[in-house]
Amino acid sequence: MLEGKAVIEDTDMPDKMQIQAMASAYEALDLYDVFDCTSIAAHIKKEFDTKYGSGWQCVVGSSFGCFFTHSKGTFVYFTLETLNFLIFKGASYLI
Amino acid sequence: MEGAEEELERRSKFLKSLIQKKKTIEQQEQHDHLQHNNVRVRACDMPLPLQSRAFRCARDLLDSMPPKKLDSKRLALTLKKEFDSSYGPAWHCIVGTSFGSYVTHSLGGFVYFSIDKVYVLLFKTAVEPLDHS
Repeated sequence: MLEGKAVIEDTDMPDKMQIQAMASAYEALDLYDVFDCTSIAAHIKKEFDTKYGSGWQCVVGSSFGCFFTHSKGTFVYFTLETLNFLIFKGASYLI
Repeated sequence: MEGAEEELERRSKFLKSLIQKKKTIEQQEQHDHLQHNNVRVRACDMPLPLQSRAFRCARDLLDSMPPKKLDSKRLALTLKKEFDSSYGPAWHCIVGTSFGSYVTHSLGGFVYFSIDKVYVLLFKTAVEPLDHS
């Protein structure tokens, strides 16, 4: 069981969804080793696709930078233990 | 004596052109060498022209950065913006030395490659119309 606590760095997500994001992360870290970033990301992405519809993206790691376009209200970036988590839905809106 | 001067000038020009050709060849070889040895495709679902565009863009920017100082965010931003403007929205780019990801991407819009010691993930997702409700 993890003793660390997740810290939200940036988000435009509803609170309930944020909680789900962190819960999914805790769950993934119970299932997979901390070095298996791809499996952790896969677990979280699939969870979100199931709960909130398809098109979610997830990046997990200790050293990365990124730029992306996300749907409104679907972005969260947080840290937990030694890892950083980025979750967002990849569609963008056009007029 | 006049003939000798002409001969010397002719030989001088020949040598200069020879040196220039050698430099050009060396530059080309170095270019090929860098491309061949420093860019490695890890996973891909992308037309070749787009791949080449991504590699060239990444290479140019990394070369312009101070040695041993990686600006992941800037590289990610540059790639995303270039692809958004050239191939339409919406592209996403992740750059770093230690990360894993799991994504859904558009058909033909995904490449994961390493260049030097950096890993780059570039992918495209669908664009949805604005909900007018």
